[in-house]
Amino acid sequence: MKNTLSLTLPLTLVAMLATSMQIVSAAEKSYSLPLSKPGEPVSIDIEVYRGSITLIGYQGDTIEISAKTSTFAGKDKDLKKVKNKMNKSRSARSTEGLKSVKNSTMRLEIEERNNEVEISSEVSNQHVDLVIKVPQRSSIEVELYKGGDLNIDGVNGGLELESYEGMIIANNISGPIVAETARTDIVVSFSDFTKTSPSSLTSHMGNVDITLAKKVAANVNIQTYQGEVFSGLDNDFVVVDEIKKGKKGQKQEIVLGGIMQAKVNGGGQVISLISYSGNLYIRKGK
Amino acid sequence: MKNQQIIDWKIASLANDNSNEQSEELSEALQNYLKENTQLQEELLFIEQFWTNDVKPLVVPSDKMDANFYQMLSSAQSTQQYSSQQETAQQHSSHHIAAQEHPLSLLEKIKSWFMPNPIAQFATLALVFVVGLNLNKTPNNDDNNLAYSGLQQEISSLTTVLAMSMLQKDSASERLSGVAYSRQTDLSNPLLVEQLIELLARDKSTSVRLAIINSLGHLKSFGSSEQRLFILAIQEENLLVQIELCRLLLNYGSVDIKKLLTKQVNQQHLKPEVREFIQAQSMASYI
Repeated sequence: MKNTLSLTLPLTLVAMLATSMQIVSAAEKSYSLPLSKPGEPVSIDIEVYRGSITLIGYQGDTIEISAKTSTFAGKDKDLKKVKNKMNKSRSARSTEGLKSVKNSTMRLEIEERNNEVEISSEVSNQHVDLVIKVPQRSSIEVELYKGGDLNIDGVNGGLELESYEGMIIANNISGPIVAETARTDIVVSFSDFTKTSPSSLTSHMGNVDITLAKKVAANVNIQTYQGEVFSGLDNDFVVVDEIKKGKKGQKQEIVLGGIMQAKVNGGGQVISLISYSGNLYIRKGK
Repeated sequence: MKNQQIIDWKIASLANDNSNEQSEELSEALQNYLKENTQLQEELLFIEQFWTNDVKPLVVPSDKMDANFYQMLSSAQSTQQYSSQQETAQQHSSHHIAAQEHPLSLLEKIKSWFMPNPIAQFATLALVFVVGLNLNKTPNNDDNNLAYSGLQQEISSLTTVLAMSMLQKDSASERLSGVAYSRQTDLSNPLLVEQLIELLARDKSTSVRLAIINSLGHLKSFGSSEQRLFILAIQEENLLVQIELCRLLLNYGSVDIKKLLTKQVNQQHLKPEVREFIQAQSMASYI
């Protein structure tokens, strides 16, 4: 059956979930997407304008998507501005004898091509909570603009995560991971640490908090300007920046905001923790 | 004079790099002996080939030993094949060769070492290793140094190509790898520097941009890129990137660019945090 599906599925699968359910305020839908090349590398690209995303790694070759959407009714400065402008240009219509019908349509686009999966919800007035089960080996790229947090658990592939308003919380991962938030925290727990490529966690105004499993070997680089650093590592952090000193008699340059590094278990691939005003926490795990 | 003694002498003379002198010193008796013994001549030639193919440029002892080891192993294996062919040809020819008794040649010895006998294999590997180690002990000369710097250049070129390739990848982590590779070169390739600055201007990942700025600190001179970096620093909207660009220019830029940047403290288009940073940096430099 699986083979038939993979064969009959066109190279590009677009599943547009458009459903009007009887639930007034929210719509819920699950969808199972078999990969066209089971056992091979998987890359998943998720872009959500508003909502929350939870990704759970499992040993399988199907992507299980569960989506819950609701109309966004909160405050959104950008959206308000647009609405106000539009409302001003419209004359008020009579609603006498009419019932208000909540818009509960779900718009979520899923596309698969040769194990490259794209999931997107870019509707600004829709809040979508996504729970997605993905093969553990998946490489994942996520952009979440507004709404809740981005949670990831048990994914071994490369992660590239951006969340503008919510936190990024990743557990039981091995990287490489490149994550960025504006004002919210990044909390990552490494069960292992890949040697293939560097990792980097950047929060402009939030905290960065990592926990390294005992067996992890890495070079931890830290850089913060106004925040503090709290470390549970055995080794101390030392400045690694190469400072160009002047010749004798010339003035010496003093560098502010340089990079410091600590080697964990003899050192390994680099993981950089960067924040402007947030604190950096480095913990030892089990 | 035994064959083995002549072989030992040959190895010693090659290791001491005085083969020419030794050749002149060869006694007539020895030369006559060699003329009559073509097999031994081949063996000596074979040993010389080992030497002339030696990977001398590698200076790191372990690397050099490895290189010698594998090279000799490879030569020995090819010799084994050659020897097998010879043997087959000999079997099909006349009977008198079989009846003729002659000392085992080096080629035959090597062949026997590679027979599937664990002890012989171990002994072969140990011998090859020891010879590699001995060859490694030879002093470096100017040719070696030249070859070594040539090898370094080749490695640097390969690293540059690798870095440039990685910088074009879709994954931010791979681009970070590209930046790390670029740091392993001396950033002497202007194309690589150009690519780094291009990426610094447009990459969406703050991590990649900060890593690039850190790498650019290893440049000997910003040269014509300095003005561009200055403009980037002034126009940048990302606070972390802007501060790091300012730090880069204030630490490693020319005197003129430092003055220009310090003047920007009074300009309102810079973020307050950046102005504060430049002020702190300027004050620190006067301490």
